[in-house]
Amino acid sequence: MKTVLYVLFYRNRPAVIALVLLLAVRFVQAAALARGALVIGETFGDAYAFCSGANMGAFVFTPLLVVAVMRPAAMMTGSHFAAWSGDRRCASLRCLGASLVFGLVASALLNHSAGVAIALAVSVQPDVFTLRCSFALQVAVCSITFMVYVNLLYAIGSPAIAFMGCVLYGLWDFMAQNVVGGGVPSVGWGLTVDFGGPAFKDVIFRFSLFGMAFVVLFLISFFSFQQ
Amino acid sequence: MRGVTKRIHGKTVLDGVTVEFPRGEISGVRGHNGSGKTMLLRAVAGLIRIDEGEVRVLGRDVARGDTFPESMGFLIEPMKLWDDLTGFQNLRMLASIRGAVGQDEIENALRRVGLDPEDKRRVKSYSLGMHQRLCIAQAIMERPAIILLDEPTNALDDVGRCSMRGLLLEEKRRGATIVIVSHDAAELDAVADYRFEMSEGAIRKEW
Repeated sequence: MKTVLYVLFYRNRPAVIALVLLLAVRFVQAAALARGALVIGETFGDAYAFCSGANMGAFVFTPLLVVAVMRPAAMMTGSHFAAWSGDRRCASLRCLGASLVFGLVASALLNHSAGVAIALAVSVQPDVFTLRCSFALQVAVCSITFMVYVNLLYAIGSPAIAFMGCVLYGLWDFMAQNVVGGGVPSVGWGLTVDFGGPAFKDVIFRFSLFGMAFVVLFLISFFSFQQ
Repeated sequence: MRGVTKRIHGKTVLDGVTVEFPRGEISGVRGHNGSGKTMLLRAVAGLIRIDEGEVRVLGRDVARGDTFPESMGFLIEPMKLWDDLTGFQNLRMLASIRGAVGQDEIENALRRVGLDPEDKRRVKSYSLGMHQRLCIAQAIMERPAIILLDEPTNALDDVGRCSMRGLLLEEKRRGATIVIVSHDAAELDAVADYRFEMSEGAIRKEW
């Protein structure tokens, strides 16, 4: 765990830049909410969707997440990381651990900053269930973003293409919701926020969807390390 | 290595290579660019899956399983260094993965390659030669039984080359088995106990 945290966050300047940008975004959102920019901002769910909806996920959070993971991912896809890990399975499990830790930290930051921004701007009662569900679901989305980046970097070797792959993953839900005649299912940010407050069954369904995607990505990375 | 063959996109890069690098000695492999030298080291290190043959390191087959050879340090391809960290911090991060190397050993390795462990400069301000020294320090810091070096004197000045020879001889006296790959025959002649030549993916012993 100590190693994973060290690799992910120690002197990771891009991660610090991403964090500062996230706080700046939250500040702007809080200012907009306070000035009544949100017409339907009656409930906590609406305000939360304004701060962390699929559009924000697509155009702001996913690129910020990728900026934060670029350096640790570059290290994890190197042969020295694998060799120092002792064996290929160990290296791929460390990668899995890093993605989960990164997901937890990123999701906590995203949710807490959104909660604080809403609390500062509008006087609505926090919906603890929405917050908790969103936190848990965003752990999955952030971890999946990490795995997508690592897998693409491993397979293609180009940080630019890996970055674009993650951005496309982030954009998917935005496209699913906004492209006329799209009709494609959500697989990312679109599933993390529910305007009306998600039912427990619905959350389980979303988790299973993310779980399947995560397992597939882990298997891809596992077999990549095997090669 | 016995009958090791590796093909990449239909091209044979290692062609039935059979060779034994003697324990506790320095073996030098020379050859022109693209002759398969680096691929040979990658096969020994277990970094690639070979198509045919057998690679045994310290009695264990490394070509089939998931485990990399124990006690092995290598400099085969450019290390992914973190520019914002110092040389010491870079090595400490790698060492922290397995926890096998302590702070004293890292400092000692840095001193041996001519770098100052107390140097607060970040790696991004290092010269090419300092980069190379740091990578070599990474290869020796665990005091491994096997050391694989690909063009270790690249980017080193004359003083650096000279101290590198001394370092290799020290490692040999410690009992390490060292394989060096280089296109520079004179460089190999200065330190190697055995010399091999690679050409078109095949290897032969010169002396």
